[in-house]
This record gives sequence, structure tokens and C-alpha cells, in this order.
Amino acid sequence: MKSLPVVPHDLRQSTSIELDQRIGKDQMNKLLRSLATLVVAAAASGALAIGLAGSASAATNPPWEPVGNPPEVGGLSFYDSNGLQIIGGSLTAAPLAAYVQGSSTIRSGDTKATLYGYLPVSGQVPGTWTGEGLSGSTTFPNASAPTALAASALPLVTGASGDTSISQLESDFPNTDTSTTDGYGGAYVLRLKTSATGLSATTNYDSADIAVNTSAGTWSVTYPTPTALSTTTTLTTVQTSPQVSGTSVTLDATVSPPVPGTVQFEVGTTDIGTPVAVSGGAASTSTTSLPVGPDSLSAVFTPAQFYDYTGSTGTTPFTITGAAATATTTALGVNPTSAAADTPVALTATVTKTSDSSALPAGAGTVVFYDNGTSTSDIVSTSSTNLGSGPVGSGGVATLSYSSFATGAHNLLAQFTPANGVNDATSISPVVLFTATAPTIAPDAQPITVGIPAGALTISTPYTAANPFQLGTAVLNPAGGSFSASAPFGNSNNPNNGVTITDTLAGDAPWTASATVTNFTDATSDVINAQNLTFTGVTPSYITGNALQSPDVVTNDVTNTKVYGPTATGSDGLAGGPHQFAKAALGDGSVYIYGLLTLTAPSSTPAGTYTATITFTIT
Amino acid sequence: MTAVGLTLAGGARAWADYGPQPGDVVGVGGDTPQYALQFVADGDYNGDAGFNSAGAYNRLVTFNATADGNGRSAYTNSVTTGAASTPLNPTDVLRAGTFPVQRVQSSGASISALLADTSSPEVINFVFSASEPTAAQQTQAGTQSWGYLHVVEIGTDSVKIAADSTTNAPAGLSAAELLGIYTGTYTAWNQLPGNSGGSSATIIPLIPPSSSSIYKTFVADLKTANGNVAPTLSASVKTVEQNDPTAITGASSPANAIVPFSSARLALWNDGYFHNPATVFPGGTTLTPGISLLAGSPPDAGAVYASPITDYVIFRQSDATSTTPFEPGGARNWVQTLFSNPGGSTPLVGKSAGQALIAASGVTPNYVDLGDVSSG
Repeated sequence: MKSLPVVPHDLRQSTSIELDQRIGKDQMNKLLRSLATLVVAAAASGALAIGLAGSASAATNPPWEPVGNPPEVGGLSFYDSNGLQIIGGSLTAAPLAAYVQGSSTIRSGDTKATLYGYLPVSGQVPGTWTGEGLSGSTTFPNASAPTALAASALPLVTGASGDTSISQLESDFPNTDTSTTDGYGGAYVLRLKTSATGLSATTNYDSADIAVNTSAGTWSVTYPTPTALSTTTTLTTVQTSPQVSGTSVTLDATVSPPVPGTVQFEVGTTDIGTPVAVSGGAASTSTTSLPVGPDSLSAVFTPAQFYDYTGSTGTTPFTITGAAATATTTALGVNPTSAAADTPVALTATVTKTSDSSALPAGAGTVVFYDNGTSTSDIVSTSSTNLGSGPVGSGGVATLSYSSFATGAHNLLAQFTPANGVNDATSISPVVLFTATAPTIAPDAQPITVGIPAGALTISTPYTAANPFQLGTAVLNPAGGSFSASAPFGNSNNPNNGVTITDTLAGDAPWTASATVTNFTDATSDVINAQNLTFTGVTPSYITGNALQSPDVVTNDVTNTKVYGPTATGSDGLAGGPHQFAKAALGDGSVYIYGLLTLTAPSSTPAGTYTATITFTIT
Repeated sequence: MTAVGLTLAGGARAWADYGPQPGDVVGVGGDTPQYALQFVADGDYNGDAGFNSAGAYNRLVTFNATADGNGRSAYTNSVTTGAASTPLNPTDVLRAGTFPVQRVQSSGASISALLADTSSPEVINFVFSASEPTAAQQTQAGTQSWGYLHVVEIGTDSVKIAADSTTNAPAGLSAAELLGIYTGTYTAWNQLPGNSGGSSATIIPLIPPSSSSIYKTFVADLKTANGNVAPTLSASVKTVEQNDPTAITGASSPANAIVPFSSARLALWNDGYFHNPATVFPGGTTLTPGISLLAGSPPDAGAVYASPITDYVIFRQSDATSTTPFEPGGARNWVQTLFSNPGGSTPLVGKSAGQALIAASGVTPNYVDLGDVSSG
């Protein structure tokens, strides 16, 4: 009589309607006997399993859900004291939620609601699960509740500090199901029942299933599946755009509804500080570090844990301008203001801050002195003559001594230009007239001339047709693939046996030396391809007393990639040049350039003496 | 002393209570706290759900001291027999399958019944009482291997003097005046000191049964007023059911009748809980008690009589330490679940939900786990 009914899960789905009614134990036993009959009948026919399969819950639902209506009339929603929807909370919180609302009217006319907690047990029908009351019976509608809840006719439990927490429910009814797969481990069921004056509590209920995370100390709703509500975040700035760089800008974010959470303020994709907690739907931060330029400011809202709301982002454009320049004033002093032409004149400019006439510090910039001639305009134009400049030194003073004033009027002015990174404005002094008088003794101007020869750029070798450069006799390499012959084309001891370049051109012009060679032929017109000749180890040898000195001449080797047959075409090696082997950017004089000439010939090359012509050019 | 009261048709099993099953927790007790525990178990009339509304497998069952839901006494049938009515000694069935036994009708009787229940399993699990067990009773509990009788205070009440809504009594009565009335010194209202201008009608002093807590409290207060000498009650003092307004309104001269009364019970009356019993289901109109408490200044300028009374639940300490869970799957035994759970989660009567139910009975909730205490 005291044992609890154990039935297959799928059978529970169909029998829970009856078993969830509060009934006496005698009735329970009768019902269990009926259930046993039902089980046998189902096993015999097999028809019941098919019929129940249709009521099976979704895979993600707790295995006992949906229980069906009745007794499970609807679901439950949970709210904090501000009427914001939550989907979980602390295990030790009492009440577990400020408000718990049923989604359906359980019994028309009822005015009180009570919350209960039950321990679901695998193998037992939901109606036999044991539990306890978690709240008192509270009146609904509750005019003191947040507006939306107060206005609702749905059953509402108003939590109180003396209510039972989920932690206490766990303690009173420990969930000993350690399975991680049967859906019962860590699960509890909350049910809301209603009553009224002169009426006892209903047997039907609105219900929600929760999962308990003991290690985290939290509970969360698992059924019905919570649907997150949307939020809107609006971002404004106290200061209007644009603002000068360095100005403190206050960003105000407003989150609606006023869900707790944090707001990360951003400029572009860069965080402004750390996330700010939202209080009463508002979060603010101030910064003086917004970058210069048009920015997009953002407030990215993230709801606090268990608040059943989506995040949202508010944005606003904002422009930061460069810092305002400090106005400056430039005064020009000319001493003397009248003197004979070509007499040294001291030009002194003093640069100060306009606001307080204090001198700019040394290094604040440069003053350029101009001569506007007879024009009294105090602007610098293309007609102005730049007399020279001087740095701003101590006392904000820049000076220039100029002694080439021609006879006549000279309206002088000084223009201050701030140094890079110094936030001062440019300024121009008023013109100051300097009069250059005719000298007392007239100068005697006499012409003087000099001629510069055009000069020449030559390249030469000590070899001629009658005295050709000898590569020697080619040697068959050990692998037998080719012949090879090489000989120094000058060397460090006798650099003049190579190429000699002499630059006497006016203007210190650059030059480039190159070479090219023809195919080698013998008396019977056999050919060794010119691409087989290379010039390597190319080295300059400077001559003492010449302008050309190290590292003026830059050399490079001329190489090839393989051994070519007699008829191959191309410009590898020294063939098909010119191939550059030396250059100089400047410098007159002579320089020797030497290296190693190497010829490789295919092993099929007939014996004989082969001759070619190598031509060195300079441009 | 002569018993007066309404007459109910006498007969065994005049009404059938729920027959508690093994595992259910059964409580009996006195009249004064009976509604508090009834509401804790089954919810009150205001829609506040009681313990059993959770639909738990094992239930909390209380049997009121009065066989009548309106709190009236039951007497033998004088109408058809012509014989004078006598107390009926109504019965109830405390466990399914057991024989009817005399209903426990007072706090004192309930503690005695608990001590007398040495059966296994227990028939009576706890009692609700307006008095503590005596030292002798505690000793007896020890000899029965229960440890002691564990006492938990659940609330407070007060004993005051009730009179008809239209009464010749002064606005208030002091303990000294009551001593004179109940010992026969003052038999008419105008004999009261300071009340010579009052009614000359004969006072009808009423008192509940001697086993009731109201009686014990009231007589103890008279003893105090009598210099700590036990008073001898006048022969004119009539015994009536405690906390029954009809003792006043049904008296031969209601305007001259007074009785010590539970202020909590009168609050329950005034709250409209009781309905006309003469009307068949679904019930009649709300009854008004027709009485009120004398709360004004007594004519002798003494303090108006009001005596505090405490409501308790009392159970075997051995049950408090039992390792048998009350509910399948639960971790707490029934004592821990309902009344006393030191170091654990708050038991029902200590929770705000439980105290709201106690308050609905008119009792002022006050949860104190007293443990091993006695009085007298």
C-alpha cells in the first residue's frame, strides 16, 4: 500500500491526468490497480505504445513533459522585483523570484496563488511526486506589483523573505538521481496552484521545470523553454558633436526595459574602459581619449545572468576635432631701418602668445624673413623675396643678419611657422620699412669668366685584334660534359689589364659600364655560343688621387645558367648585351675594373682555335 | 455547576472524519488552538493553502476538540428523550481501521492522551495545547523511552471576559471584581465597587470545563487576585463549552452573562468564519457572535482583565530524532517538516506561510522551539 507506482515513461504520459489529482491513498491504490491492468492490456495488444508515441515530448524537454492538461494547465514565468523576466537565480535566494506568474487561469474566480516544489523521480508518475510549499498563499492581482503584473488577471505568487529557497527544497527533498542522461538528475518541478476564500487549492496547476547547478549555486528554467525578450539600447552624449580633442565627453546609455547587466562603451571597435553596470536602465562613462576624426560611438549592452533578454547596441556618431591652435603674435625689429645698400641689417623677430604676450619657448618654430619690396602689404606672396630664416630661440626670438639689400625701399616682414607637433598658430608681423640708401662710394663691378671643358667618358682595354686576350686551351671537365677555359681579365696586382674607365665629364654625372660578346668561331666556322662566356669576380680598383673612390663604383658579375649549344639563341652570359657590370653615381677620375672571363663549351665542340669579339661600353 | 449548551443529535460516528493512514501525522488537542492547527493542515477559509495542498503522499491530520465545526459542544438528545442533556462524549476514529474513541476535547486531555498512546505505530503523533505538560508528565515521557515531550510555541492568545453585545456589565472588569463575582461576593452588577449606579440584575458567571486551558488560566488568575489562595467558585458559576458565544447568547439572561473567552476565537467569529448551521449544504449566512470582549475601564479603577495564553504543539522527542522521512524521497522526518528542525530548514509553522495560517485563526503567530519544558 505504501509503495509508489512504477510505470514506463510513456505510460506516465497517458495516466498523469488522473494521477495528478490529489486523492486519498485508497483511491490511489484503485488507480494503480487500474494502471496495472492498463499495462497488461497494452503489452498484449501493442496498440498503446503506438498511440502514446504521438504525445512524446521533444528530445530537449524533460522526459515527463508535456504532462498534459489537466493537470498541467500552463507554464510559469519568473520576475524580479522590477517585473523583469528571469529564467533562473541563486539557489539560496528566498524567495526564489519576486514574482511567479502562471501562464493560464487555473480556476476562474480564484484570488490566491501558492508555489510548490516537487522532486521528479524516474519511474514514478508526476502526480505521485512529493514536495512542499515554497511560498505563502498570496493575493492576485497584486496592485503593488510592477504595472504589467499588477494589471494581469493571471495567477501570481508574490514572493516573501520567509519563503523556501531552492536550496532548502534540495535539502528537504534531495535529488539522488546521478544519471546525466535520464533527464531527472538535478531536476525539480515547480507548480503554482490557486485558491480563493472558501475554496481549497486546486489540483490542477501551472508548472515549470528547473535544473539545479549545485556547483554554481544556481537554478535555471528548463521547461517550458524560455523565450528571450528584446531590449533597446540608446546612446547619447552630454556634449554635442563636434568637440575638440582632449575634451571630456560623457556617454549615456539607456537600456529599455531597464534590465540589469553591463554596457561596454566603444569608439569604433575599441573599448572605452571596462564594462559599466547598468543601474535603473542607465549606464554612463566619460572619456577624454576619443581620437581625432569622425567616430562611431557604441554602447553594447549585455544582460546579467538569468535575465531573459537579448543584448542590444546603441550607436551615435561623434566627431573630434584637432586641438585649437594657440594664437601667436610676431613682431619684427629692423636695425638699422635705414642704411647704405649691402650694409648688414639685423632682423629680429619676437614671437609671443597673443593671449598673455608671453614669449614662446625655444624650439617653438621658425621665422622666415621676407622682403616685399615697395609693397606695404603684410602678406607673404609669390612676389615676396625670402631673405632667410632663423629658429625661435630663447625669449621667442629669431634673428637674421642680411646684407644684400639693393638701394631702395624694402618692406620687411617676418612669418612664424610652428614646429611640427607644437600647437601654436602661425603669425605674420606687420611690415617694417627698411630703406637702403645708395652707398657713398659707388662700387666697381668687374666681370670674371671661367670655362669648363665638356670632358669625356672613356672605357678601354689593353687588348687589340692583333693582341687578343687569351683564354688559353679549354679543358674537358672530369665528368666529360663540357670544355672549360678561363683567365683573369686583370687582377688586383695588374688591374690595368682589365677595363679602365676614365670620367672627365663636367657635371659629375653618373655612368654605367657594360659588355657584350659575339659567338666564338674557328677557321672552319665551328661555333661556341656566346652565352657560354661569363665575367665574374668583377672588382673595382681605385686610383689614388682620383675623385672616384670607394664606394663610388658598384660592380656586379655577369653569369649564365647552363652550357649552350652552338645554335642556341638568347642573351644569357655576356651574349646579346649590353650587360652591366659596373656603375657609379658620381665622381670624376679613372678606375680599373677587373675580373675573370670564363668560357664553357659543349664536349661536342670540334677542336680548333675559336675567336670572338667582346665589346665594352660606357654610358 | 450546571452544563448548558446546544444539543446535537447524539450517535456514534455522527460525522465521519478522514481516516488517517499509516504515515499520516495525526494531532489532537484543545479547543483554543484547534483552528490554528486545522488551518496549518488544510488551509484557511481565506484561500491560504495548508500543508496538505501540496498533495504530498503522507498528510497532516488534526482532530478538533469540538465535534462540531462551529466549535460547539455536543450533548445528549433531550428533545426526544425528555431527559436532561448531558455531555455526549463524541468520538472519532484516529486511524483508519480502528474503533471510535472518545474525542480529545481539551489541552490537558490531549497531553494525557499522548502519554497514553504507547502503541506502535503511534496513533496520536502530536497534540496542540494551550498549556505545557507538567513536570510529572515530562517524567512519564522519559520513562516511556521518548526522551521527553518536546514543546514548540506556535503563537499567543489572551483570555478576556466576554459579554453579550447588549449587556448590563460595566465596560470592563478587573481581576478583583471577577474574583468577587466568581466566588459569590458580588451577585448583582451594582454591587461592584464603583458601580453602584449599575444594573441590579443578577450576574450569570459562566466558565468553561475545568480541563480547558481557558478555565485553568482564568482560575489561576483568580487565585493570584485572591492572595495566591485557590478560590472556591460559587455554586452560581455554570460550566459551558469554552469559546462558544452561544454560552452567552443562549443564557437565560444574556445581558447578565459573562464568561472568560479566547480573544483569538472571537476574532475568528468576527472574521465571518462561522456560518448558520441550520442551513443545509452549501451552507447558510455568516454568523455573528453576538458577544464582545469587555475592554473598557473597570468601575473599581483597576486594570481590565486580560491574561495571556500560549498555544503549543507537543510531541515525543523520539519522533524529533527519527530518521524515517515523512515523505517518500524527502530527507526530513515529520517533526522536522512541520514543527521543529534545529539547524535545518525552517519547519512549516515557523515559516511565514505557516504563520499566516495560524494568524487566520486569530492567534498571534510566535514561533519558539522550547524543547523540554513543563509547567505545574
